[in-house]
Amino acid sequence: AIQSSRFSCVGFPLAYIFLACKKKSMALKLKSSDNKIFEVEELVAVQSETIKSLVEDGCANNVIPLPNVDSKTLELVLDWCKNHVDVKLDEEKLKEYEDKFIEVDLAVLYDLLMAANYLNIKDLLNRASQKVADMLKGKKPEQIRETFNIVNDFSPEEEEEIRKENLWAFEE
Amino acid sequence: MAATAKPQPQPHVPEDMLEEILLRLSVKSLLRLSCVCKVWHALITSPKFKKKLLSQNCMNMVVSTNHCVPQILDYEALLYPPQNNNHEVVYDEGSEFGAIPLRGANNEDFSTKLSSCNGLVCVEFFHYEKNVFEVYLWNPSTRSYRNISTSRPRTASKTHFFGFGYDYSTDACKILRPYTFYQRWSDFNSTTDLIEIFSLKTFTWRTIQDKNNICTYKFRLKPYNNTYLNGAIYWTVKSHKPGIVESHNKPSIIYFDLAEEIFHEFPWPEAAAKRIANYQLSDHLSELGIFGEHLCLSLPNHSNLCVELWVMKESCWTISLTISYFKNIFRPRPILLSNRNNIDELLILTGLGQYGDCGAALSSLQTQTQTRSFISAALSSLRSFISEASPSPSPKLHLHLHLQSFTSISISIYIFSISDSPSALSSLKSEASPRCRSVG
Repeated sequence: AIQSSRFSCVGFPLAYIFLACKKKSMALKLKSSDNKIFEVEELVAVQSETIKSLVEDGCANNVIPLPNVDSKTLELVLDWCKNHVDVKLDEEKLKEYEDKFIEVDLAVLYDLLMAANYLNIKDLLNRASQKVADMLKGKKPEQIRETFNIVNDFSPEEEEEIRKENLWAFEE
Repeated sequence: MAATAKPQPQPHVPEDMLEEILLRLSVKSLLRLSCVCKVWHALITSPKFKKKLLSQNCMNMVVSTNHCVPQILDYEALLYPPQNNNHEVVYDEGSEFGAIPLRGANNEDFSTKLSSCNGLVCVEFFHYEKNVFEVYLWNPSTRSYRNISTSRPRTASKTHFFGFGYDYSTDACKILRPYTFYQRWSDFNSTTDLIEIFSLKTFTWRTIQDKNNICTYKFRLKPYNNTYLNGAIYWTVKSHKPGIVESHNKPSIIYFDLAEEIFHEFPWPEAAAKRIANYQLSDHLSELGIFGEHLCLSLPNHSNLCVELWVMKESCWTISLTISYFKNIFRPRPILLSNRNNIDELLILTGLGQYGDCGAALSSLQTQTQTRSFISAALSSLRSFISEASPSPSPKLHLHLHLQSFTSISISIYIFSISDSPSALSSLKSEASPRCRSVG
């Protein structure tokens, strides 16, 4: 019992200091591939696991260069992060936001995917991959080639062979 | 948004992300997409991708045989039937997953055995009249099946049981069929016990010796179900069989290590074995199953109307749970511990067999106070399953009892709560009042 009360005496001010530090939330500077600087709160930026580990290693004092993300995409990604800082946000509103956020051109969607992967932002990566997956669902191979700009490099015989193996999958 | 800086009208799907995207699709969609282009085909058909897909997209399904036709039931539908159909779900014969066609002509006398692992089902048909075995591998998600012929002379041998499991060391599924070979037919002194193994990697059968000599006497005890867990196949063998040497006359577990290819044996829980010797428990009603990640032995205790679940953890048997039950329980087989809405649920398959018919069990159920419901489906026996999911157990536990009748064409699934909070039951989309149906 003595041990534990001593611990709590020391623990209280320590926790207080810790909280005070947290509240301030340092601003981080991120540099996009086209050399634009974004100033963001640490709490927003550390949703990226990549940035988080940089911060934890003490490598975030200067500008953090993100050579794989352009400014247009970074702006979108940071907007996503800002809206996901407080997890207690209204679930419905958040869903509404996400749905609207992900309604973008394929090119932008791919950029978001790559950025989410590089920055390691799990929920964005999930959402963007799911969006592309949904576009692939229930479509014919021809439609998919057209939508996703894919060249069919199978010979007609080869394609027929693959289709034959799994005929049921091509039934409507 | 349409105007992008990129030169081509539509950029390509980022190759690094393709796997991440495709893993979110159903097998049907993937089979379709495999003919889009060579890169996609190579990715989708690669073993690495298949493994990943299996680990994250696993459906819980129950494989059953309906008049010896193997078929698949969706686990979700089984436990949570749509509310508008009187809790009765009648399944089409494997329409969803492409059942293996019935062997032989109508009403031919044959039996079916099933075993499953890694989403594959191994099916064995046995024609009594012709004394012929047929072994099939069935992949319900791709709806494909393949006959695996056996090469050994069938007239001079007798197969005892079979097993199916995944060997981590060679990264291949293996089928195991121990058999007795007769040098001279009906001369029991001229027999040799051998083990036949089929590897899906080499696609050939091999015969090996029973090194530890365990099979030799144990497999005459006709182990019933096999249980696959972490690279080994387990059977429970029971005591009190006439004609068996006394030292062997103890209930035990035998298992086949798929990497070593050797049989091993270990005893039942000491306490349980003692009570069996004193006739306080009956080992013939027990069955082996899986509780989470562990091997689990169920022991029905008829004097207390309960089932004891013994779990093998770190090479020790511990009693994990005692479930109050009703009369006439026969071989309750825990198969799947799942966590839904933060409530742990255990799916148990049971047979009623010769120890009572389905109707009798229903009436005794009605006298219990727990909330329960049941659905029935046109099935005649249920012997195996596919499962994946094993969260840790929590104090709140729901029990799904799966009753079956080997003799009639009906099967009932009982769902009731042994949790102390009745509100938790609301997660089950079923009515409180049980509906009983007698079976003829």
